[in-house]
Amino acid sequence: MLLSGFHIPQEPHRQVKKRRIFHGIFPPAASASLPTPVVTPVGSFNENTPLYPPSAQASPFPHGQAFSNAEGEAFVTHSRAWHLATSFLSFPDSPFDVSEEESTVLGVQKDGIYLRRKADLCRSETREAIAYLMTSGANAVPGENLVEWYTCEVRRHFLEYIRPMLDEAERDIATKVRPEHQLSDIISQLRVTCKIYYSVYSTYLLPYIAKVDPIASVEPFHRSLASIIAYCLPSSFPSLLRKTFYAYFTIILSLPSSHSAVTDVGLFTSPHIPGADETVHSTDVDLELEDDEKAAVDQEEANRRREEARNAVFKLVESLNAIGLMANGVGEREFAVVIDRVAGEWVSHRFCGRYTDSDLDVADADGDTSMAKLSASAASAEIMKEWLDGSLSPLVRSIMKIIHPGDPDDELPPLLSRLAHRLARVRIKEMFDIIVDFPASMPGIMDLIPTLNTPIARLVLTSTFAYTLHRRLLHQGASTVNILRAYINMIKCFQILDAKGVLLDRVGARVRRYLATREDTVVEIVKGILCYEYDEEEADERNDNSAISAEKSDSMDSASTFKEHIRRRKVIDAEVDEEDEEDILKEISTELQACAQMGADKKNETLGAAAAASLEDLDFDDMEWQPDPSDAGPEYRRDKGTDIISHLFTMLESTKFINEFQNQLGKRLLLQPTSEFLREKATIELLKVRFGENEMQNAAVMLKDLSESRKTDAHLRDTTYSKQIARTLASNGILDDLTEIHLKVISRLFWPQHMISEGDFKLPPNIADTVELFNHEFETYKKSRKLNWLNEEGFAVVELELSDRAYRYKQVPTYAATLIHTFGEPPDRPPADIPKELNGGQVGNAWSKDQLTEKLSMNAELLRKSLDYWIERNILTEYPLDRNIYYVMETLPRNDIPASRRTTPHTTPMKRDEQQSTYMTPRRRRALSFVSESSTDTDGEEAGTRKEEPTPAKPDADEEDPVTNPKFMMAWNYISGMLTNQGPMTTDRIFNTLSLFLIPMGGLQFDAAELDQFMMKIEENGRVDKTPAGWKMRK
Amino acid sequence: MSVSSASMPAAPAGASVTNVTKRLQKELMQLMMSPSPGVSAFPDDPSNLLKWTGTIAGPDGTYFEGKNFKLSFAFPADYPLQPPTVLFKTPMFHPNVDMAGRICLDILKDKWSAVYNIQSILLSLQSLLGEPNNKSPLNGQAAQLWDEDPKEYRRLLEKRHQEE
Repeated sequence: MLLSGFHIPQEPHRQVKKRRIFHGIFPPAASASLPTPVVTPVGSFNENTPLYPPSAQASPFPHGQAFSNAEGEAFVTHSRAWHLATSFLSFPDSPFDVSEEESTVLGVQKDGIYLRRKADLCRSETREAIAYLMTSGANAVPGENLVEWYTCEVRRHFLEYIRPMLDEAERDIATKVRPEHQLSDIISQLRVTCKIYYSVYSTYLLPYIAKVDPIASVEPFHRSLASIIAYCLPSSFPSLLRKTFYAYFTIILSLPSSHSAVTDVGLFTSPHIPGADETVHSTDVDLELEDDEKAAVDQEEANRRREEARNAVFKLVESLNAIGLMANGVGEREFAVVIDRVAGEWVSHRFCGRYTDSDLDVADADGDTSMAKLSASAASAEIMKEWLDGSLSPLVRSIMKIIHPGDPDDELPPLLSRLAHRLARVRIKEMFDIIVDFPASMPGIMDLIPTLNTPIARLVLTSTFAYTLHRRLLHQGASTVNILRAYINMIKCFQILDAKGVLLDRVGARVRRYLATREDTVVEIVKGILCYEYDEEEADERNDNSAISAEKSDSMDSASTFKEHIRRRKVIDAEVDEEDEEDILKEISTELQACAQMGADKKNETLGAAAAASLEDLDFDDMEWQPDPSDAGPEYRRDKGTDIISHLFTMLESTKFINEFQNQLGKRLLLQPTSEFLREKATIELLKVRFGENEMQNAAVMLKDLSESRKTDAHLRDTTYSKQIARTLASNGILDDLTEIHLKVISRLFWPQHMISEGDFKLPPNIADTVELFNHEFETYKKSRKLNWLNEEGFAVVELELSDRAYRYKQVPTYAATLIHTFGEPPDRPPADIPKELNGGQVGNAWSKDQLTEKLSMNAELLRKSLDYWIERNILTEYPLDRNIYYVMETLPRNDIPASRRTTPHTTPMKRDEQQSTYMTPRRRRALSFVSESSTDTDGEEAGTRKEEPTPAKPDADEEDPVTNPKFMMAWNYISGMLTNQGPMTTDRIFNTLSLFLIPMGGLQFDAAELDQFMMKIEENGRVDKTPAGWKMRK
Repeated sequence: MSVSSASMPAAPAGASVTNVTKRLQKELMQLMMSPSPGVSAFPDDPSNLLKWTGTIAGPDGTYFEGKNFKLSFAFPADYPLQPPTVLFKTPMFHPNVDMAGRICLDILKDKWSAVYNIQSILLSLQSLLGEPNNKSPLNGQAAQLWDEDPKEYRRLLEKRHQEE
């Protein structure tokens, strides 16, 4: 009877066996464990089977033993139970409707529609079937098959129905603007799905497993679900997540980008509360707020947004955690990335471009004024620490707590040092600006120091900096002065960063190589060294100018006075500005002084050290020896001078430098009215320390010449002055204002030759007279020497009185002074056709070029230069109708005459003359007066200032002529032969040569020092000269 | 000197070089001990006496007054049997001196005799400056201007002349 329930009793038995074997080898795959096909007479099993009593209809397993009797029965029961359980547990062939699942329940976490419907469907027989399958039946481990099947079913459902939805959400990205909205779609879909999966699992399956092994029971299912989700996530999910995290964190931490990106902060504070949107727009209502109130409201609004963002982030993290994407998953990874990025951004936002003390303080507008008290070096570290403790750490901590609830609090990664590295990266990028701003940018440098402890960090610094150097400094657009200035700062900065100089060596080499290619490097450095100004005089000049103009302006119409005054001031000022215009490397001279002061006590020590340094590597007893730093470049030298000046000087060829130094020193010495030159003296002494006594000898002689000249000048002027007065009185009886002459006497051989210009011209008569007198006096003062005047060098003080203006020029070149003196009087044959007035300006004396050449016997080039000098200063001008004629602008032309009416070479000047002659001032003032001309000069054409020509009688009369000394008598013959034929020779060379020739004849009776003394005596005696190349026969 | 001769492997040459240097050393001593006014000479290099530099002061009353002229002497290994090669190193404008400084003087060529020495060469050259042999000029322009146009001669000489 019972058997009739089974159509073929043997077969199921075999089948079960077969299946067991099969399953023993191959675990049931998802496809194999689909619910029993519908073809199986489920309906008949449930309702129409006559074989079962009604009670059996309610439950297929009323009597356990009924099944246990035979294996066939067991199989039937099992498959029926399987069918029941699987068809109940299986999911519909469609994704879950998110809105339905979530929105039905308001605020309370409760099952969604699906689950409730499922719960409704769950009848007692289903429950029993599940219980049967879970606790007993044909399974080796009770329940395993069903759990496995369920896992597979979840997987199948997810892959078939949820995955396409996720993919679709990804495809929608183009249409949906906000990353957080997309993210929200994906996450809610996942959340709902997961929730259903879990609920079903925990409601129907878990209770049975939990009895066996409560912990292990959830884990495999959970893992499988998490992996399938992770596998199916859209490829854009990580970036979506990153964007969203980033958006929220910028708001929470008030980073600058949070203002631009409007992020929907309310999104993840789900479930959506109808009406929640209104609060966001609440500020729209209060439009008529006062400004400060508005600010307060804004602040409040910002706070509110921050709070909402914070909530949203927590919510997001929680929901991610719930679907297994946070801990150890994509969520945590993206979270870490974003935190790092945000921290980096904060650092660049907070510190970028702010490397000076004041910048750092100003930046604390947010309220932490305590920073101001901190020392520079600690400031940025403190700011970072404060921010970390105040803002970032709490946030990270609370999120970490959600992710890993069990972890202890203090396990945070070393964020501070990461920030410090971020900061260093920022600083490295702006290293160039830091260097340009150097002393002020000290805090920026201090930021770098702690992180520069690995070779890689140092390499990054140097290579980045080298790149910046190339881009910003070492190109045609940068002036040499700027490059030098940057180089000086660079040296200072890198010395702070790295005392051993390895880094400087690496980056400095480029600059040095580049500077070496620039022609004017030497010039600028020397200019810098010699740049101190004599300020008092300039100030005087200014006062003088204004005094004169004030005096003058009294005599003029008050109406035009002001205008004229302004104009005049403008001219005068312009001249002063012109002098200040040049960009000079004042730093160098300051550095030179500073180094000298610092190094004064160490000087001997360092000199000794430098000498020892070359031997250092060979000194095996040196217990202090250390190898070069490992990252030192090939050109690295430990013993290299460490001060700035030596860096600069070693870059130059010393001969080049010394020549340039002499040139500029010479120019300077001749142009300065004073003879003191204390600064120059000091500078030369300092340079001697670096270049050696011999190299600076010429410069020292130049200075000595100047101080000698002061004495000579004083003496000569004393003696000539009285004579001059006497002579003037005798000649015309009037004591005219005498032109004062000062002279500077230079030694030709020691001055740069090109400076001693050969240009000659006739001096103004009164000056020429005085010069004559000087010559005479000099010859009596210094026997056997005579002055040779260099007319072109030197300068004069010139005062000009014109009809409408007066000037006092302090440093007029002598040739220009001579020229303007000539214009003080009209020429013998005034050029014809010169109007009295031109373009509203009164015309003074006019000379043609030829007349000037004739009068001054000046060469054309010099004449041109002189004319240009005064034309530039608006004193002289070219006569428009005849380019060869120049005239004095007695009054400046009126600016208000339109250009069209100005005299041009095409209009006739005669008419204009007649019309306007009535405006002329009746009497022409004396146009010019030489107040004084200090003619410096020096002479030196052929024999230098001292053209030391021994007067013929002198040397013979000398009672102790060294040549008569028997010791040297024969030697002198050889010496003179040598010097005559072989040119100048040093004492050493003379000595060597002599010893070669004289040893066969009895040897030398003197040593080199004696020879040197002898040569010196001979020099005094006037037979030889000392030149830089050695002794030279005098002609 | 002894060193240089010892290091010479070729014996015959070495012997003659020794002779030359001995002779030249003697001449140097003579020159140094009894210098003639206006002329002088000295070896370029103490270790090689075969090259000398000489100086002549232009004789008074000639175009060359007040100027100094440098000469180079190169002595052959068989000096004094052969004359030295003498050139003007200072640029010269003279009928018997060409633009490269070569000199046309009989005693330096076919009339050479071993009794001449450096001093006599220098003195001959000094006198040649004042009394050129215009019959066989090396510098035709100079020969022509010498008598015809003293002013132009002086100008050209001035233009050419430059001392070190």
